[in-house]
Amino acid sequence: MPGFLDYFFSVNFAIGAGITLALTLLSMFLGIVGGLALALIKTSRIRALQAPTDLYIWLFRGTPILLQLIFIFNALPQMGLRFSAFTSAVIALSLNESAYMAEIIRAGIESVDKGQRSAARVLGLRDGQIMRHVVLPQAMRLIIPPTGNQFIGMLKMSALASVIAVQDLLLRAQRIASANFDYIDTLIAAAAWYLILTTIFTYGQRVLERRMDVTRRKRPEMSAAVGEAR
Amino acid sequence: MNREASNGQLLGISGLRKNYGSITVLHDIAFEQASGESVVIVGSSGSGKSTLLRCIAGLEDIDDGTILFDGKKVTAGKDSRAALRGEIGMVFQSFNLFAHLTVIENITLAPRLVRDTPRGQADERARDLLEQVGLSDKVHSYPGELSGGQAQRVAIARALAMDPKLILFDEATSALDPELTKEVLDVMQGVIQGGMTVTIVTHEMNFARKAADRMVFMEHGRIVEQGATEDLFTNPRQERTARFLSQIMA
Ligand SMILES: Nc1ncnc2c1ncn2[C@@H]1O[C@H](COP(=O)(O)OP(=O)(O)O)[C@@H](O)[C@H]1O
Ligand SMILES: [Mg+2]
Repeated sequence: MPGFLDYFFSVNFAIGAGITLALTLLSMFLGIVGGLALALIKTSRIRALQAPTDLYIWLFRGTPILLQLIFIFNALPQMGLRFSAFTSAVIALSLNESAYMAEIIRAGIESVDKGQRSAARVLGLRDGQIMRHVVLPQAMRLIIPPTGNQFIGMLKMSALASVIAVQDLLLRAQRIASANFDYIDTLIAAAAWYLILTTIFTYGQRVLERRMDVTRRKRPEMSAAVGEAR
Repeated sequence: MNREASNGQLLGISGLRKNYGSITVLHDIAFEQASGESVVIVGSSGSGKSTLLRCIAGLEDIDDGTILFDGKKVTAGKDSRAALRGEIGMVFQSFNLFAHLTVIENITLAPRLVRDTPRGQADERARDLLEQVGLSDKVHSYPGELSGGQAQRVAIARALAMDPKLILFDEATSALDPELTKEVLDVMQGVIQGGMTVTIVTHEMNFARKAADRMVFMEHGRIVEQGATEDLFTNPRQERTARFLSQIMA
């Protein structure tokens, strides 16, 4: 009978961990891109898109991710839209993540002093240039820490994809568990893989935040030399 | 070119009205400025001086009237900004240096993005300007590492780097400790002596008297009186102007 270490080091589990990681990275990437788009709309003056954006965020934050996942995998095919399990999971996770990232990025954008934008506008920069070269780089300070948390949350949330038969770490662990009647060693091996991944992410997050801290220390009171007084 | 520009007029404002919500903060403003002229705008807090400068800079939507700059209409829209391409510079009370960029990056950002100036050329110009404002040793500093006076001098260099035809100064020294005020006023004086057209909002009356060709007095969103600086100081026609000046000089 194989033990914890056999499971942990098995190709099966390693592939499962790889799929979990791929699911996480892809969904986060698309979630950040989508969230950025939504945040740019929310902070823009494009009136017509405000209500649809609010509706989107309300919808995806207000319903269970598990429901969204099952809906995309099971309900959409009934309307003629069929995706593989993995694709369905990526779609559901990134649509959901976009709604959360939108709020995070928007808060970051809004934290940047209005005077920064005024100065850039007078200098003749276009709106896109102002966002890219002036606002977003400064918003990063506020965006990065919660985004790190979202990454770790996504890693764990991706396990939900096992319910629509994505061959991720959890599903593989469960299948072997029921085949071998050994829930203890298999699930502990899966947990160990998750812990390794979350620990790596947490460490990466710390490194990034420390980098931001260093730049902050280098510029002690940002507001002193850059703020807009009205 | 149009007639006004050939007469040397750079800025012409007529019938300007600006509302914030239901409150009108600028009433029927008429104002002209010739190329090379230095004008100081004075008035008590809340009289609309900043709002007027922000309208000229294209930072505010206006509700009525026109602002003509160098023959081009100024609005807060994209098209106006594209047409001006940074030809009007502005120096803010709160400096508004880009916090994440070094001093030289602050100065070269707009020339590179708006004018497509090659990096080497933009850097060289920035270093010259930093020398001019006495900050050659701060090239690679971040705004947060500068004193207020240094930050404001960088902001002036940043404005100059676009070779604007007009620079607006909105209480450039009001956020500074008194001992740092002089270094900024000296740089502003230098800019004026270099022939730049400037519109300056300030409470520094000695500086105004020394540096400005013309002075404008505002109250409650209206221009009450304007004229040659010395005339306004020695012989104001309006009672309100006299009262304001005697209060602020006291
Ligand atoms: N963004 C704004 N929203 C609403 N009211 C404003 C805004 N900016 C300025 N005001 C009002 O407009 C008037 C003129 O302000 P301002 O131009 O800043 O005066 P000054 O620069 O002469 O002190 C004031 O009553 C001020 O409260
Ligand atoms: Mg003001």
